[in-house]
Amino acid sequence: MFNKKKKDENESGAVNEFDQVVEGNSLTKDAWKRLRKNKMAVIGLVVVCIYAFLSAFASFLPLYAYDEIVLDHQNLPPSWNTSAGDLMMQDKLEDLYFTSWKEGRLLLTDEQDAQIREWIEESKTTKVWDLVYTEGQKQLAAGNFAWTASEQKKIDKLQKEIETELFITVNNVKVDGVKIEKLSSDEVAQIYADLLGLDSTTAILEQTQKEMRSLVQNDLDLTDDQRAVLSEEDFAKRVDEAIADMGEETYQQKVVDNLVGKVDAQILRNVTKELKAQNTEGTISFPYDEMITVDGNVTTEVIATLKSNRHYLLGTDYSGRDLLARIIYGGQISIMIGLVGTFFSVFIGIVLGALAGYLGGRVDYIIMRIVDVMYGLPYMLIVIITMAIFGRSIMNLFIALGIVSWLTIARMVRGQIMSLKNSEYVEAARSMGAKTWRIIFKHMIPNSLSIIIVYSTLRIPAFIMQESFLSFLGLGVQAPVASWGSLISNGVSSMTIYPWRLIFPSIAMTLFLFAMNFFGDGLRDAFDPQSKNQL
Amino acid sequence: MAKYIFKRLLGMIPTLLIIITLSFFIVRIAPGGPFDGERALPEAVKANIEAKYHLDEPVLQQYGRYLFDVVRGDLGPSYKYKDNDVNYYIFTSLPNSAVLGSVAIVLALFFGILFGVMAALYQNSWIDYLTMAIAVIGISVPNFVVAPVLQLVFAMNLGWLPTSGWYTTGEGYATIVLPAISLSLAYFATIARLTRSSMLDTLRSDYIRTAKAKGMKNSTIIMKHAMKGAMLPVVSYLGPAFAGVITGSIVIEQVFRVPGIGKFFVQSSFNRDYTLIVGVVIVFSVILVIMNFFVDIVYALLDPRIAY
Repeated sequence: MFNKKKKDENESGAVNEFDQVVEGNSLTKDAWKRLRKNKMAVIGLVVVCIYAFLSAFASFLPLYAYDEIVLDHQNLPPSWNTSAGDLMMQDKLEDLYFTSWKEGRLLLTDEQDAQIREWIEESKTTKVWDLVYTEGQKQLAAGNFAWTASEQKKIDKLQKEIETELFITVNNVKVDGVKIEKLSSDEVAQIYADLLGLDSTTAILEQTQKEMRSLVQNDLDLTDDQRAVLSEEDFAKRVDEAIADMGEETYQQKVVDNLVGKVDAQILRNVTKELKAQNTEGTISFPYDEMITVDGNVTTEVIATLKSNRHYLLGTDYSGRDLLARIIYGGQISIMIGLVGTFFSVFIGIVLGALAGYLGGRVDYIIMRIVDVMYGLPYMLIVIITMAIFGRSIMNLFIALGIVSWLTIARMVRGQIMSLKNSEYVEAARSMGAKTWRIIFKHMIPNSLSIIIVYSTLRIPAFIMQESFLSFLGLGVQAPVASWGSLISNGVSSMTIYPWRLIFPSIAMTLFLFAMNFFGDGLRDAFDPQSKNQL
Repeated sequence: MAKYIFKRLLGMIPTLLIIITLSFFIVRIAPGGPFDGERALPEAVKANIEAKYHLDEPVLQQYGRYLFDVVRGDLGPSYKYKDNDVNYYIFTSLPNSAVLGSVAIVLALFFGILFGVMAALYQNSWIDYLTMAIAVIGISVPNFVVAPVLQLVFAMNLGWLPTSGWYTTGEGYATIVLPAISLSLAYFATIARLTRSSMLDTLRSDYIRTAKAKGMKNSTIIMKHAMKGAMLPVVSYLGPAFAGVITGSIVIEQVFRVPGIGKFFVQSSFNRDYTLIVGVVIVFSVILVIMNFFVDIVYALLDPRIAY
């Protein structure tokens, strides 16, 4: 990595006294050779790469949006080939069979009855559902059991819902090929008026003005107490000022955005009506993805799917969000936090450790005393307090974790720098008049880089664990954003009934941590064979 | 030795002072006070409440008052729970957490050392591989995954142990088992790895060879000579382990519904209950600092090379 010179020699064909080509060797090359021999480390590296790939390209993968709430699809179990609609129907039937069993209409054998009571006692509800469902289906097919009229009605209603409920998105509304956002507010208002069938745009523009003013008023930088005492006129004056501050162009753009939102919503309403009618006639097939002309010269792209056609490979969570997408996006967040947090803490550690090691004396004493005292702190508690108090944003998380986790790296870098301080090349650089910071950052840190990299690799899983720990307590990232920790935390609350919500995120996270630890251990052993078997 | 102990005791004071100062000021520069409810209080009521808790005084005066109270052992009134003061809440819940933490540490130490030594003595045997496999799992799997999974398997599916609860509420001592195991797994793993590697190192060292050459019994060599040297890294790991157990217990207590101190910590962080947060942090820190003190003493006693 740092031996460019040797490589050049190699290319020019350096030979030894026996005329053999001299193979340049470096610590990095040697370590890489050793790493490749370590099977677990290589597997770990491959797994880490797969995770990195998945999270880097998550937005290009055919996934549902991680924050798309589908209320009908709450807590659906994972399934490879059954669609959401079928699962919903199964849920409903299980429920109905169970009620009929309780009412004594679904007759089972005495053993089965006893078994069900025992399961209920142990609150193993899933087993009960499964049993009544299979038995019920059997009896229904054999004609020994029939639904009552009201039950049949419920089933038919759900069936109709499953067949007709659509999921529609409207994108890229264009007017004569121009994106609608680029038009002026009057033009957009005209389109909206046409959609609504109005003759003039005056009412629309007035309404929009009013909405904009109330939006600006809500955004004013005032406390609740101040708001309580202000009069209408005062508010009007302040709003005028705020709008003037914004500048005419920005304000107009906001007005246009507001109107575009209205147009989108109206188009969605019209399209939904149209598609629903087509669906009842059976003249449409899903998935539907076409450019359509809404009104004269207004065109838009409409994507529509039958809601019940969705497949959830890993099931859904409590608000019907796809768990697979959430795990992948959660992993993206977790891995990003691991990387950025490690970078942040390693950066602080390098700077402080290098200063302490190189300057020595009083600076060294002060920095190392701070490190000593901070080692004695229950630092996760400080992080928890900071997160609880300064708000639960990802930025605060970085800062809180970064501030407390630079200690070990600082100590390591300090030791390394102290041992390099008296080496010849540093002496040489100093005698040529290089400045302190140049010696530190150009000469000494690159020479300690291998141990820093190794340490950082081991730091990433620890960081991910700490972030997940905070998310688990509800102090990490906030919904709809997910991280592995928050997914696991959500899963724990309902693990008896919906175990997949706990199991899949746990597996995803554990596998990554395993891989990362194996890879990190392998890397450390490769760079420093003497450290083998040590912690 | 006495001088060393005295020096270490003195060294505890700045650490504790920093902790108190840090948490005191962090919670005070926070936006939003403990009485900012959904409904704004009338000015007069607010002023009265602030006067009652001395919140109207300058911050430095509050800090001084607080320090003085803490030294006397009074952690002040809770801002959120009106019935009792912070001392009451902490000292009714602390014993439960202490029992859980101690059981976990003892489990981790006992089995960690046992498995570590066995793995070192029978290197590359099945017990070595088993120990290392459990160790990797213990280090990679966070305790908030271990806890619910153990709960799911051993309590809910197999029904061997109670799902949650605590023995003080009359649910039997079996309630301790699962939380203690979940809490100790990570520390068991690290202790086993440490013991194994340092035992391997020690067994190769000169003084063990000398002992062997003198014809000593193998068991005496291991128990009397090797163990003492091999325990040094384990002892120095105990400090971080105590800190980890303290923070880890917050999650474990939540999962297993243990009526411990962790619940107060998380809740009071959300409630901005200043005195309770700082109280919990101080109690935790005192425990940690005392534990670290003992760890240092034990280390000094074990290692004859340390000069005090």
